[in-house]
Amino acid sequence: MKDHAMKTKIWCGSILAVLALLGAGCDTVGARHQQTSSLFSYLYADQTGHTDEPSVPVLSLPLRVGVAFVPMKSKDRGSSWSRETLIFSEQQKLELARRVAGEFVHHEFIKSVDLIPSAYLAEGGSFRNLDQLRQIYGIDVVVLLSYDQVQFTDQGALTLSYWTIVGAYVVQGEKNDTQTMIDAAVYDIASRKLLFRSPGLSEIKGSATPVNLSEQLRRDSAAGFEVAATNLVANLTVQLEEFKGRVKNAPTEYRIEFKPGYTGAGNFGGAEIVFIGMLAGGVLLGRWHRKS
Amino acid sequence: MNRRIPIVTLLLIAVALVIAAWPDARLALIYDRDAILAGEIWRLFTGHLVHLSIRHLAFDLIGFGVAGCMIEARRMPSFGWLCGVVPCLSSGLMLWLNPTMSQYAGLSGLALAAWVYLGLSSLSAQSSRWLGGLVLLAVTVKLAGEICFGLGIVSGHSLEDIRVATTSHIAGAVSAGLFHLTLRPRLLREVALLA
Repeated sequence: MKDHAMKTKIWCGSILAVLALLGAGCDTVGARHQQTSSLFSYLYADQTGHTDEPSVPVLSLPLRVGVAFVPMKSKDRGSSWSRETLIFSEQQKLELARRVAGEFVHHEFIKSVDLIPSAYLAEGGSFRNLDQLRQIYGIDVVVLLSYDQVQFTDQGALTLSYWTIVGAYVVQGEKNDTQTMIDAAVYDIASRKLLFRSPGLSEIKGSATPVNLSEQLRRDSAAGFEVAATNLVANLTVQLEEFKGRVKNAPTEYRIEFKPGYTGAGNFGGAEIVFIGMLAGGVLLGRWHRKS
Repeated sequence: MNRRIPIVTLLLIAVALVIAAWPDARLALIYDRDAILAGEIWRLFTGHLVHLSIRHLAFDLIGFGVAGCMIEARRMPSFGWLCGVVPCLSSGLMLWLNPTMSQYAGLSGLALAAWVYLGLSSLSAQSSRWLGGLVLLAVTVKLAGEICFGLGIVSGHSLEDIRVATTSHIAGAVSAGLFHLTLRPRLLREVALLA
């Protein structure tokens, strides 16, 4: 009887140990790890399925621009995975925001670019929150940066679906792949219109083994954000040039106003340059004639 | 024949090219009324070396470069001083007379000063009075065109409210004239007597 009780205890203990091991494995092998801050949730938290319709924004030039990261959802902020292994740190966000600001600041129609701390953006704050930022920083246009990264550590969940401001974005992955998207949406706050957007994507193929899975996923996550940020900035350069072209060439799509205070300049026109050329030629010819 | 390298002209052209190739420098160096009033007084000079586009840069450099090379080739005195004084004087006048002009960029004010200086100095010399007369006539026509018709505006900037900075050009022309007079005390006395 005593032996039977002992055997039962050993069996139960063994089963519990196996279950505990399996349970522990689910945290690192069987899950889909995701870091996300959704622009859609920030702007249209209570309007499921919303997409922006094209309309005519009024641009008061030169523009004052703000760059901000859309806040993470509180449930993601609170999760143990996000808290302990968050790869996309505030420092990295600030670095990316600086790179994005650098793309804007060189254009003649931009007056200034301000980096807005994440703390100023409330979850689900929508345009009410942006109006407050407009008051605080005096900005006309805001660049809203959002991101989504997923690591497919489970064979069963290999699709990332991210609802961007212009529709759903779906990527297929393979086990241990890291898919990252960083999105920059540029809004005119007063007219609440999307001026343009620029995505940055990256796909890091999974090379992790169960032995080094956690460490490799962490490295892939950091690399994913880095590559996506680089792609975003490259895309942004193209999008900004296209936007400039659209504003210049399609006055019906954007209404332009100028703020008080103008830029003074002046140069020599074609006629003056021809005159200067003829004068310089005449002087050289006279000198050559005198010599000969 | 002893040829002289136009050092001042080439130096200013080189600096303008470096600024054009370095977008961050433009922001720190452009004439910006608010920044100057906040104490960034170097912009009074450096604003003249900043340009808004490749076309603006190219035409200003041709305008200034030809005049500068001719002045230095003819060994006209104190051209370096002219290049140092005229931009600051011109910016000071814009600060005073153009409170609504928030920014200014371009070498055109200094280029016009150089052409006026070349014209007046050539008129004083016996050998090239025709050159002096022709240059001063052309400068007068250009300034009249700007004042009456707003000619000389930089084109291709529909995203910025850019207007021709006639004050800078007039200030450049007038200060070059005064500079020329101060170099010739006898002429200055004659002008004073006439006045």
